[in-house]
Amino acid sequence: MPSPGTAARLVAVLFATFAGSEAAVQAVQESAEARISGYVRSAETSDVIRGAAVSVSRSELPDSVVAIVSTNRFGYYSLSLPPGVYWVEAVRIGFAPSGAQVQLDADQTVDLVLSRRSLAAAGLTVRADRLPADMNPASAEMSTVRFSVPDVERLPVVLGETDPVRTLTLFPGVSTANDGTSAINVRGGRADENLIVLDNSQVFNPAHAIGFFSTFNSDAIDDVVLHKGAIPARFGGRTASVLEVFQREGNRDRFASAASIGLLSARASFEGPIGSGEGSWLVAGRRTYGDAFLVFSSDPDLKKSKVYFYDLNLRSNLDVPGVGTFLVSGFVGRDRLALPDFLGTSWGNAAGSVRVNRAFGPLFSNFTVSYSNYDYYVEVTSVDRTVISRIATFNAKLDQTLELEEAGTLEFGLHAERHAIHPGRLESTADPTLNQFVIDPRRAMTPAAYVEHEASVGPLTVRYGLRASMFVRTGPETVQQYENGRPLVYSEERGRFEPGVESGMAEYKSGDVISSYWGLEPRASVRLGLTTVSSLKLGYSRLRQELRLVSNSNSPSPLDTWDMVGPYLEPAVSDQLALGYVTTGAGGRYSFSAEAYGRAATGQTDFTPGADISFNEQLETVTVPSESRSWGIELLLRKHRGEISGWIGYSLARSELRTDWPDDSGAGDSDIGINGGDWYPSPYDRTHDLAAAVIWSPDGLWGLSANFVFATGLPTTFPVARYELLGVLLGDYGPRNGYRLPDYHRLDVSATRKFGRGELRFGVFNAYNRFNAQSMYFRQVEESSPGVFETEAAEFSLFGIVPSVSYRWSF
Amino acid sequence: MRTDAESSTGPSGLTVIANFRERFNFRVMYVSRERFLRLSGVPALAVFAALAASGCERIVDVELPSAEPRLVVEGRVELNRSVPGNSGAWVRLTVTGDYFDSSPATPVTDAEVRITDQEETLAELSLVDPAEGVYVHLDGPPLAMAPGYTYQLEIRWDGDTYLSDVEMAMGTPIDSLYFEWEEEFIGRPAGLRVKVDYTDPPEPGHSILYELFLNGEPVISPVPGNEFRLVRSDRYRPGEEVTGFAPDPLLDPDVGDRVTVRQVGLTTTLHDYMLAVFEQNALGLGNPYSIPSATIQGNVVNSTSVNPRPLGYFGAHEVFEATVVVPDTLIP
Repeated sequence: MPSPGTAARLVAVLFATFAGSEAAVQAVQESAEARISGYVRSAETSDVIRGAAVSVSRSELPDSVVAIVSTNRFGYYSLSLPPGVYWVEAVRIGFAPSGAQVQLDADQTVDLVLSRRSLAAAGLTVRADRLPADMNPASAEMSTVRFSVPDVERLPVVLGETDPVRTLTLFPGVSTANDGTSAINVRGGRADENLIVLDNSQVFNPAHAIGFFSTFNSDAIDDVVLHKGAIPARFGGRTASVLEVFQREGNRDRFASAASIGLLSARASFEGPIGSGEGSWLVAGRRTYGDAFLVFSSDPDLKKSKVYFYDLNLRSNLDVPGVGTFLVSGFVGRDRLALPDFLGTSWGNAAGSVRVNRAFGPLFSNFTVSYSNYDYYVEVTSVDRTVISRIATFNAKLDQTLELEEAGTLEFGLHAERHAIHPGRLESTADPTLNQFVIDPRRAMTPAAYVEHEASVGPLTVRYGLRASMFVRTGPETVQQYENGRPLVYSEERGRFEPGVESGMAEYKSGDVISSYWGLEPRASVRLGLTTVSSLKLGYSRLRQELRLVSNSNSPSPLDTWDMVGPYLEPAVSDQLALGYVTTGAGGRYSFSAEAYGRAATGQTDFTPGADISFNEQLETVTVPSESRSWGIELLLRKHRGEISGWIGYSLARSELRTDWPDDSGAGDSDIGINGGDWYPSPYDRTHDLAAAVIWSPDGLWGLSANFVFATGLPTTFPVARYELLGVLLGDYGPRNGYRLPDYHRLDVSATRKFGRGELRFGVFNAYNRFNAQSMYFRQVEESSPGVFETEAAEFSLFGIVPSVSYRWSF
Repeated sequence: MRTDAESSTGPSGLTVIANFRERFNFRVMYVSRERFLRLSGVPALAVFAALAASGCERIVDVELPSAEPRLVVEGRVELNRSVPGNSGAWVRLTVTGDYFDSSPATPVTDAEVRITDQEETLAELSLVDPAEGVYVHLDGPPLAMAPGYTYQLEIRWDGDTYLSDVEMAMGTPIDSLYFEWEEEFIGRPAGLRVKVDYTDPPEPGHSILYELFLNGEPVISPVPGNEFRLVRSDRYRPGEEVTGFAPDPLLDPDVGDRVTVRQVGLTTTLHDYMLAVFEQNALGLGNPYSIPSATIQGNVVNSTSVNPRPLGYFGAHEVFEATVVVPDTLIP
C-alpha cells in the first residue's frame, strides 16, 4: 500500500510525466538504487514477450534470487536495486531461459532475447518455468484465458483455418450459439458485450463468411488474452469481457516470409528489420480462392458471381532515440458476395492505430490514437435498393504505468472516444442520387479516466481501481418524441407490446447534447497466497456499455447494425464477482484453476416478438428493456509442457434473461414481457460444457492433436399448438427457450508432419460425423395438398465430417 | 363520403395452393448462411460444396406439449372499390389444434358474431360455411364504409366475449395489371409473372396486403423472402410510382388462366402484424440466424378474462382489385 510519502512522490511523478520532463521524473526517484529495465523479446520473431518472469539474482544459483518481476503487456520490465553485480534472467513457457550478467552502478537497459524451444526439446527441460499470469498463483490476475497462437495452431480446426476465436471456445466460460459463428458468449454475456481489441483498435464485427471464421489471421497474431472477469480498469465500454489480440511485430534481425495454402484460403506473410534492428515490420494477408474457379462455370450467372473474403494485417515498430518506440498497426478485412443482376453484399472492418511508448525510469508511458470502421452494404438489384450502414470510432488514449517497487504498480490514464453510427441509408441501386431514405446518424463523445493500483503485502496481493466514464450523445439529429416519453407501451388486454403514440420531433443542432450518462466502474481483485504453489483469488468488476448490436437472432450476423444509448435507451451496467483457486504441480508442468462467478447486468435489451428491426428508424418502439444474470463454476486443468500438452476445461453454468418492464401498478415485479416477465434461459445457456485439447509432439517431425467437446443442448422454443390464418400455418409457441436441443458432442483430430522448411497438416473436424443440431424448427410440409397443412419438425446441423489439408512454407 | 355496400358472400373457400414453396432463404435485406452456402455450393467450389453438403437438416420426431384450444379470429370489413359487389363483412372462426395434427382446423360454429360501425349500425353475421367456420354479413342494413370509419367486432363464444376495434385503412388503386415473361433466375424457374403498377398516395402510412387468385382460387407463395411482397409498406418511399412489381414471383400461370390481384389497404399496425405472420411462416427454414419463435398477438381481446387470449386479427380495408387473363402471345 502506498505510504503518504509514496503518494507525494507519485503526484510528483505524475506531474512530471504530463510536463514531459524525463529529468523531472528521475529527480523524484530514490538515488540510492539503480534501475534495470528493458524488453524481453523472442529470438525468432522479435516480438515482445508479455508475462515473462524476469529474475535478478546474485549468481546463477537458483536460491540467490533477490527480485522477480513480470514483463508487462508491452514486454517491458523495470526494477531498481542497490549497486552490485547481478544475473538477470528471463523465463517464459515455450521459450528457453536466457540471462545476462550486469554490473549495476547506474541505471541500465538490459534487453533479453529468448529462443522458442522446439516442442520436442521442451520435454527434456527440467527448469521450472514461470506460468502465464492467469494460472500463476503469484499473480492477482484471474478469470483470464491466455495463449500464444504458435502454441495452439496445431489444434484441429474447420478446414485448417487456425482461428484464435475458435480456440477460445475450448476454454471454460466461453461458448458460441452455434458452430457457424465466431461471436463468443462469455460467462453468459451476449456477443456484443465483448470488447475486441486488435493491438490498440476496437474491432466491431470480427466475422468472415457470415461468421464461420473470425477475421484474425493466425499468421499475423501472436498472443490472445481474454479477460472474462476482474477486468482491468484501463478497459471500458463493454459489460462482459475484453478480448485482446496482439499482432506479431515482425522480425528485427532478418527478412523472413511464410506462405501457406489450405482448402479455403491462401496466405502469405513477410517481415523484416528496419535499419539495423531499430525496428521491424510485418505484412500478412489471406484470401479465399474458391471464386477463382467460378470463371470455369458453365452457368453465366455463377461465372459473374463473387464469393470471397480477405484480410490484410500490417504492423511496424520503430525505436526513435529520444522519443520512444512507435508502433503502427493496421488491419483490413472484407467479405464480398455478389450474384449478378440480383444481389450484392459486402462487409468489413478497417482499423488502424499509432502508438508511441516510452519509459521514463519507472514510468512507462503510452500515447495511442486509433480508428476503427465497420461497414456493410446490401444491394438488391432486382428491386433497385441498396442499404448502407456504418460505425466508426476514433480514439485517443494516454496510458501510464508506474513501477513503485515495494509499493506496487500504478496504472492510470485518460481516454477519449468519438463514435459515429450511420444506421442505414437506402439508395436506388441504379441511381444513387434517387429516393434516399436515411436514418439519422448518431454521434457521441466518451471521455474516461481510470486509475488502478496493484501492491503486495505478505501473502496478499491487491489490485483495485476505478474508472469514470461519460457518454454524451450529440446532434445534429432529429429525435422522434412520444406521448409521456414512452415509445413502447404494453396493452394488457391484447397481451402485447405496441408502439407509443408519436408526438412530434425534436431537432438537435450540431453540438447539442441529446442525452448524457456517466458512471463509476470500480474494479478489484485480491490474491491470497496459501502456499508457494497455490492461492485463492477474489475479483469484482463493474462495467458499463453504451454501444450495442441490434440483433434479434441467437447469433449476430454481419448485417446487424450498431446503436447507442440515447433518449430512450440507458447504458447497460454489469457486476461480476468471482472467486478462484489456483495451484500448480510438478514444478509448473501442471496447473489447475477453479473459479465460481456470479454476474448480473441491467439495461440490456430485447425486442418485441416478431419485431422487424432491420432498417428501422424507430427501434425504440420495438425495444424491450431487459436484464440478465448468470453464474457458474469453471474448472481448468492445463499441462503446460512436455511431449503431451493441453488442457481439460469444464463449466457448470446458467445464463438467464428477463424482461425488465417497469411495473406501473407498484405491485412489485411486473409480469409483463417475454415468458410472463419470468427469468428464462438465454439462447446460449449451456448447463454442462466440457472441452479437452491435447497436443502430442513425440519428435520434431510429427505432431498429433485432438479436441473433444461435450455440451448440453442449447435452449429452443417449441410450438404448443397451431392455427391457420391468411393462408398460412402458424405456431402458437410455448415459453421462449423452454426446451432443449439434443446434447452436443464432437471430436476433431489433426496431424502435422514437417519437411524441411515445410509443414503438412491434415485435419478432420467432427471425426465421427455426429449430427449436432444447431437449431430446430417447425414448418409446413412443402408438398402439402392445397388447403391441407401438414407439419414437420426439422433439425439443422452445420458441419458433418470435414476433412482438411494445408501446407505451409517458411523462409 | 359514404358508400352503400351490398352484402356479399365474400371469399369463403379459403383453400391455399402451396405448390410454389421453395427452399431458398433470402429476403430483401438479408442473406442467410444457408443461402450463402448453397450459392457457393457449385462443383468447382469444392470447399464450400463440402460445407454445403455437410450443413444439412433432418426431419425428427418431437413430442410437443399441448395447450388448451384458443379462439382464432380472421375478420374483415372490406370496401371493394373495383368490384363493389365484393364489399361486405366476413369473419372466420376456428380453434387452435395440436401442432402435428394436420386435419383441417376445427371450425367454431356456435358463436354469435356482430360488427358495429361508427354510426351504430349493427350487422349480425350468420354462419354460411360450417366446415370453415365462416360467418358473413348477409341480412340487415349495410355497414357504413369509408376509409377512416371505425368498426367494432364482438364475438360471444364459450362464455367469453371477444372484442376488437379498428379503423378502415385507405387502399391503393391499381394503375395497371399485366404479365411479363421472366427468364430463369437464381432461386426460381423461368415463367410468366403477373406485374402491378400503382402510385402510392403522397402522404406516408399506406400499406398493402396482396391477395392473389388463380382462376378464382386464392394462391399464396409463403416462401422465405416473400413476406415483403405479401405485405408492402411505403415507409421508405412514400408517394412512389411503382412499376413492374411482382406480388408473387413464383406464380406461373398458363395461357387462358385468369389472375386476380387484390391490393388490400392496411393500417400500419395491421401491416406489422401481417408481416410478422408471413415472416414466421417464411422463417420455417429456421436457420441459426432466425429470430426467436413467438406467438404473434393480434388485435382481438377477450373482454371477459385475460385468458384464454384469442389469436388472429380483425381489419377494415379499402380494397382495389383487377383481373387479367393470360394471352397466348406472351409465352415463348
